[in-house]
Amino acid sequence: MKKPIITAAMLLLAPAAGFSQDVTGHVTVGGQMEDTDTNSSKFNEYRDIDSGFYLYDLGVKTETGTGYFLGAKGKNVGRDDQNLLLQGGRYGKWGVSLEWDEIIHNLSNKAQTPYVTQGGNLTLPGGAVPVPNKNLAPATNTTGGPQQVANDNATAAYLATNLRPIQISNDRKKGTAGFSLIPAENLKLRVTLSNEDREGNKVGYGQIGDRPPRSLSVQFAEPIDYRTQEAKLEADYTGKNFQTSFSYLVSKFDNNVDTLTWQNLYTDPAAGTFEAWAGAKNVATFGRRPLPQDNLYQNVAFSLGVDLPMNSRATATASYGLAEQDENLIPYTTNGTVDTADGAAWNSLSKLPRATADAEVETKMFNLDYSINPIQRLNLRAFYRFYDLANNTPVSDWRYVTGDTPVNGTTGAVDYVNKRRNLAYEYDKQNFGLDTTYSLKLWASTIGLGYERENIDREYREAGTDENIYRVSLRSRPANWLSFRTKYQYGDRKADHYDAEAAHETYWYAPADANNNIDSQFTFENHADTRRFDVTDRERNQLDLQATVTPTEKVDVSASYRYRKDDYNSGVQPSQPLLHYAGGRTIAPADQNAFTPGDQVGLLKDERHFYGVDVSYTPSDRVRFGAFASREEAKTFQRGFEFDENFKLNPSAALTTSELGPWTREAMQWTADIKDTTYTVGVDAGVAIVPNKLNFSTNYAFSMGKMEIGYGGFGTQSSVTPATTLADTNQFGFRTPPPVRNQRHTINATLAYDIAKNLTAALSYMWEYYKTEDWQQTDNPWRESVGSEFLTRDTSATNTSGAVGSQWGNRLVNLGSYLAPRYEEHVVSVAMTYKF
Amino acid sequence: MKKFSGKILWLAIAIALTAGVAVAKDVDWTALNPAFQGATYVKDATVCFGCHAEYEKPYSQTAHAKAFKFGKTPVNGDCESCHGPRSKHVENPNGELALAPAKQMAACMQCHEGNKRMSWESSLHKSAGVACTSCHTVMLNKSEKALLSSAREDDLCYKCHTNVRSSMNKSSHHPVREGKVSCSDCHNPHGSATPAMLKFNSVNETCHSCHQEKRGPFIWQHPPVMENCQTCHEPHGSNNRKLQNAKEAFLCLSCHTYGGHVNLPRYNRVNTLSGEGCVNCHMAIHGSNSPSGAKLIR
Repeated sequence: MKKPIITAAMLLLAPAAGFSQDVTGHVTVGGQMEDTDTNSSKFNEYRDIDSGFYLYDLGVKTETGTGYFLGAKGKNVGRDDQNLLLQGGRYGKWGVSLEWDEIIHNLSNKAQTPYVTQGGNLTLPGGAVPVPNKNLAPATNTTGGPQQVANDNATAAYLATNLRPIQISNDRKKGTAGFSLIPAENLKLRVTLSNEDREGNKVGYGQIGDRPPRSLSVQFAEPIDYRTQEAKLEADYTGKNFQTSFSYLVSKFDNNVDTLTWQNLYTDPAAGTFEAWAGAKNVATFGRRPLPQDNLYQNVAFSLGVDLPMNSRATATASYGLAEQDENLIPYTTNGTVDTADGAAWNSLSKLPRATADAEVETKMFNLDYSINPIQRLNLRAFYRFYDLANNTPVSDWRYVTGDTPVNGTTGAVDYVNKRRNLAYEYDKQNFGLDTTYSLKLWASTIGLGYERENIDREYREAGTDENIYRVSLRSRPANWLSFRTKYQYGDRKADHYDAEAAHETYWYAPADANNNIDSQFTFENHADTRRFDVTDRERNQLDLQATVTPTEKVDVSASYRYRKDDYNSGVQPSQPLLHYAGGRTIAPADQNAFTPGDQVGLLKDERHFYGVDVSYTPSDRVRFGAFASREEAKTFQRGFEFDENFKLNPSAALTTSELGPWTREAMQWTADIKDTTYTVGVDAGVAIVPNKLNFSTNYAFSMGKMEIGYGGFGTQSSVTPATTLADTNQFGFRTPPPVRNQRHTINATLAYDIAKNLTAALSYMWEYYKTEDWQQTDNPWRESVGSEFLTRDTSATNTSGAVGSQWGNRLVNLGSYLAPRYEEHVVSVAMTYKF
Repeated sequence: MKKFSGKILWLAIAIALTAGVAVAKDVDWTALNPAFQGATYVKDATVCFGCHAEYEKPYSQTAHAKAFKFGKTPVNGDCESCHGPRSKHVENPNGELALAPAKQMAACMQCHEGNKRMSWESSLHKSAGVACTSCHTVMLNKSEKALLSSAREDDLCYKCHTNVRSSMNKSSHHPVREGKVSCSDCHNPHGSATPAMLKFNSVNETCHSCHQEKRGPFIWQHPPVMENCQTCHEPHGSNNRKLQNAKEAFLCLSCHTYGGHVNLPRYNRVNTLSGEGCVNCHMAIHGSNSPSGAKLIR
């Protein structure tokens, strides 16, 4: 029993003094045995099922007979997923409630890490990995490859002796107190206070190094120590023909661990804030990043509903929200390399343009709805909604360090593209429209028509969008035993003007600063054929069909079908993204006039089908049977486009023999046809073997998911000679991977016997089986383990020796496969329920 | 901000203290069913339970019975405040005074038109023909709260929203089937001022009601994150990890084509085929407060 104090308090509440007139309730206690063949976190992902004694359910209520009541409820009392509720008050007058709820989230029981966590610090008791070659950029030749392999072997050996098990899980514990008062018959007040602590850890990451491939990446357990405190005040006032509602919410989030600092696996802290590696790389000995910041959110809302003449009604809601976050900023980096440009060390706060975040977002929402039945059978509804998100976070010019490692350790220089400006993204959205329904006598049918317009204006994004949405619906009951409904929706969204160069505003470097041909501010951020699906054209078709057949009172069959297709075709044409180049570098005419292939890049289609059927059969009062089955299929299609960003400004200079070609080469495109299929089946049955004496109930649930990626184009084929297939060990080699699968079977069965009028004994059995396969979590043709699953690397051979490539960036020291092992669990429980 | 919150609190208290005269909403029973014409109120529940005895005890345990007994008893009596004047039914119990579910709503709206049900008239459910008794069983407690027709709230919703049931059974899911999150934690089934009947003003505000650590705001925002969490996540369930709409790198690649390592699911310069793909380095994917957070790697 983990929480005896709470449990004892709960039990003591039952015979609360003074409330003896009428005490009712129930308690279910028992014990269970669990048998499992693996220690899988997935079984107890969100629950606490273990062997032992359980107070499964508790409910106690007492009343005075004059309107006062006191009650308590509890589920899984004393366990990590318990819920406890204490309520009291006077019916129709006032009420008090206290609730305690716990949610556990188990992520992994098999993780291992060389790190030790102390608050926000991750340290390495075993010291650093004694890598023999301290070079962030080993040459991609016969020397570099073996050097990197030697580093890998040293890392693997280090991990073999320094890994320690760590539980990856976190839990939420929330206490809520509520008070309600009805001071007058038409006025209700409520105050709700809550405090939630979330503790534990989750999977986090730390990368040190200036940019790929010179990145030292590690996966570790990121600490979670959050507290959220909220207070909400609500008031409802009801008049004869109107209702009003007011609410005020304040929510304060605190993170007791503001910053995460992790020791670099490959450097010695004794060297100071950085270690000098080959190639003038001052590699930081510690990485640091801020964790979720303390923030404050407030919201006030007012609603009014009025019943108007002609059987009409109007409702209006206005809401204002304010989110603030003003944490002290950490320096650009832990690295103390001096920036010779200004003589200040990079880990000095003086280099920052401001000292605090000063981040603020306001939201405003206004909604107006008017509904009228001007004549019998006809309903009309008009609506308008406005939502505005205003970002008041100040814009500053930053010049940052990538991965705690300046590009040049001697000069302290960082990449010129690191001159970035934070943009205050914001948007407003308007929705307005008209809906109408008309009821027909024929088959008790109702036909509906609707039109809606949605306008979204965005700041600093590629496009605002406008969408026209049309709806038509029909529901009907041709016979007492048959009813159906159908609804079709068509939406046509257009981007007002897709500005592929919207991201230029985030750079503030001068044209002359560009020292290579990336020059993103004046060339392009993303390939010009890209259309981001959330802000581009979209044609949506959605159809819903549902039918219910009740041939007899005992049988009910319903079937449903849903279809939805989103087509993001935006009419992309070949374009000349450099035609108006205004940067400081020399551009050849052939490049300035160069065209993109004009094939849209990004998510292009999303098509879904859902089929479901439900059956219920109740042949008698003693037997009931139910079943359901469904199949869901989602198909998406996306296109990608690989290109060498170093030739953004001069695609014509890219080697025609290089696989990593220019943005003009159509053969650099790849496609992914993704099919995601889910089957769900459920069966349940209940039998009163001996009515009011012996009952049996059982249910079975099955869920299977399969996700397939059909990959084609570059990666499978060469971009230089598309007829040539690339090997898996080619650095770009990729092809259709194996499907990702998961399946879960659950059987529950309970035999309950009424020993006496108020006493029931139950014997229950649960069997659950889970299995998952994910090619990304195991070795595959493109990724392999080095010594163990805790160090992975790419399989590519980029040097002439044929050994694995000399690229730090594709290595990952990790916590182990994310995969929760397959499990098969048996749980047997015996419980007694007493009602009083 | 102290001034803002202080003013709002005073305003709230001022409104809250405003009292008014109690007036219940009238119901035109004859308009609902012409058979009510000429019927009068019996105002004696014992007469009703004389025939409908099987309902007496279970009904007495419900919130309505408690409220009518210990709060202000309705002018027209306990039973008839919802079922209408029943004198004709007592004289001739032939069912002619029965009301279709759509008509029954008027009885409920006498008292339950405010607060969470204020937007019912314009709600998706009402326009789809859902009535109060589609989801609620008034005469006995089948659920622990809200007089639902099913013991579990999600089972009730799944009767119509079978596609959501399928999603909730997927590998990555909110703990709905474990009983720790319910549909009504995000949705107001009675309607709201927000599409999809969300309880809060937007998708993001709904998500942030539990995931406050992602609320920010941040210095460096990820624009699609700021606008709509559903750009990347499917809250009802997914076969991909963390409720994602696509598998790791493929999700990011639906928007990002900067060049180099960004544009491919596999490129040996990076480790996107391990761990969580792009997030292995771009871990501040929801926004960053780091001065070096422009690329969300800090």
